[in-house]
Amino acid sequence: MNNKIKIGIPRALLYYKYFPFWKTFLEKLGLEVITSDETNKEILNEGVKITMDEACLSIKVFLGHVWDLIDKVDLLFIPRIESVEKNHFVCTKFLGLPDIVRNTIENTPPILSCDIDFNKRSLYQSMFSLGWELCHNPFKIHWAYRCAKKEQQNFEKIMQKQARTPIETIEFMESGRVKKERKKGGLKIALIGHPYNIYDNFINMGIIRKLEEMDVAVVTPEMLSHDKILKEAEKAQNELYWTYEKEIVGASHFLVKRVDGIIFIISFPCGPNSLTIEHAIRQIKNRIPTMTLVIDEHQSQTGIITRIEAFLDLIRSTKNKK
Amino acid sequence: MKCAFPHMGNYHIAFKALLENLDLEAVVPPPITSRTIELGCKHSPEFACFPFKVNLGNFIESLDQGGVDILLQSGTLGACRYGYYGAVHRKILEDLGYKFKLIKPFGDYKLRTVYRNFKSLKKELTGLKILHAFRICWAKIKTIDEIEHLVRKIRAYEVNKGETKKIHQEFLKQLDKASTIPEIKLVRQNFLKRFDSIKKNLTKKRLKIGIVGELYVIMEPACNHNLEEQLQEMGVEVNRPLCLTELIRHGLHFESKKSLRKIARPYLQYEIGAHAIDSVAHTIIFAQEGFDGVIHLKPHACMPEVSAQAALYRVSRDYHIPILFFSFDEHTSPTGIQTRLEAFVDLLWAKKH
Repeated sequence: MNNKIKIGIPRALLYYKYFPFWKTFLEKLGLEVITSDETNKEILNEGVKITMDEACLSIKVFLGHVWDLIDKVDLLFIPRIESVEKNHFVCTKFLGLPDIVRNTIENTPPILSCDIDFNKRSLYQSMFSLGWELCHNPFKIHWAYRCAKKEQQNFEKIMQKQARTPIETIEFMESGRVKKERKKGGLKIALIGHPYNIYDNFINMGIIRKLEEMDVAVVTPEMLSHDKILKEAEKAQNELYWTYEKEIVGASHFLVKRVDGIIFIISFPCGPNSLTIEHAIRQIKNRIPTMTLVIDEHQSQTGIITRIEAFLDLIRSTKNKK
Repeated sequence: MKCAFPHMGNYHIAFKALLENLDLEAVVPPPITSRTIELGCKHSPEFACFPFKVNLGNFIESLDQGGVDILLQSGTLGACRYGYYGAVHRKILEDLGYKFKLIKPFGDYKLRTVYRNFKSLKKELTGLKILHAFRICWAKIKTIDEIEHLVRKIRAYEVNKGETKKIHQEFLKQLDKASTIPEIKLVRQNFLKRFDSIKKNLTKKRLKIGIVGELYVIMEPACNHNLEEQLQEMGVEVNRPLCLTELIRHGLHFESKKSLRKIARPYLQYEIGAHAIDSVAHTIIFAQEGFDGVIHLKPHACMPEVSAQAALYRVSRDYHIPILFFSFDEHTSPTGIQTRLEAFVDLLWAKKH
């Protein structure tokens, strides 16, 4: 009989960034990690129904995933993140995430949270106090942290070296199955946005697969060296203080000379994106064709396909002229 | 050197005094009209927040007057979008072909940055002079807030309609003229007396409504379609705890936010950015003090206030206090606001009887 405590991690928001880290850490401390299903119609509809109407699509999806987990788990893992880099912040929605969930959904299982704030304490300290709530063995917590960190580094290395998406990498790390090689040749298009928008195949209608079907090689910020894009971002917009925005801005500047076109994906109405992507596009100007896709819960598949096709046609025709 | 800054309520009087005491020429942008908002929206990203668009409109209008070479934009540290306004404004205005320098004088609110930034505006400035200018600015801000707090309290009870508003306008003019601290104190005393002598009918029953929300839209009447005034004309006593004095006190740690955090704790375990905790804490305080209702204002899709909204729904349920939510952007129509306000006030009366 399996009597491990089940802890749920919603498959949304920062799942696409830190899942291997969280999973390893929690599993090493003797919990069973359960993720919600992949985003589907039911999850999205429920999320839209329960969330306050002006929250961004990503938050709605997140709450849908939490709803999906309610009956399946004993504990929910929702970290509160204020900063992941010194003197920088992340979007305010991550600051209040446990509170938003607690206030919106009444009958949630107890929420396990940790306060990650690099301006005040190190990641080790935050994770240690989280581990302390689960077991009172400092050596075990230390060991779990080390394993988790290693796993996370491995995860990022695979993504960058083999140009894989986080989903493919997580699958690869769990089952060892290697999916077919990433497409090369043809047009090279950068797909830039928050990881929870570009890799969630339901809310963006599987845009990566669609692009690859149209004979396009896709590059995303996660496939690039993290340090390089942060440096690029500091050069371009030195006042920027959101780390995740810096990744987006940095990646777009880094890729300007290396790809044929950039597609920005924004979830409606993302706060930080609304300013930073505008800024980035104004800086890129006419050096390269860009397109902004704003996704929300009323999106239709045809609408996205039409726009992608038009964008690709435009790039191909300008390329042929040259 | 001509400096322009964006509007916020009546505080332009204080900002003007600050700049003039630094021997800089202050340009107060034309008052916010529908044209300002239209201009701002035309050049702003689609779903940037409303204050961003209005501030941009202010800048464009003041640059169009000619001669302005420095734009001032306050910048706050914190995860909200407000701190990033400056950078995007600069880029948009540069793309429009204006020649100017945009400075965030307060930067990260460290004494050294403030000093350096003002020094970069004008070399002859000394620390003492900057300090003096800030003292006058601070005195004016405090006086404005004190008087406006009083106005909100008494206006619903006045016998001769419009009297309070008239004296308030006069007060603003007088305060603008006052240039030293004793003069400001004199103006304050004079007007406290004058407000005291207004004929009031205190026996009449009035509704009491608290206003909470995002700082810019609650402080700028042009953006919330004079919501406070509309309420007062319907005979409602309005209370709005959030004002620039309080913001500065909290921002500079003159006064700890701990007590507010403690009140909001059952709903918000963590800080959720900007002043969203204040909204929740003040709503709870209003409920405990027996207010009839609360109005929550925010620009469309304001990041921290949307998070606060989730908590406010629960506060409303737990404390049985009605909350009306308004969200402002360029498409908000004054008639819509008025209708909803009237309906809200009617419902509150029905609940009271």
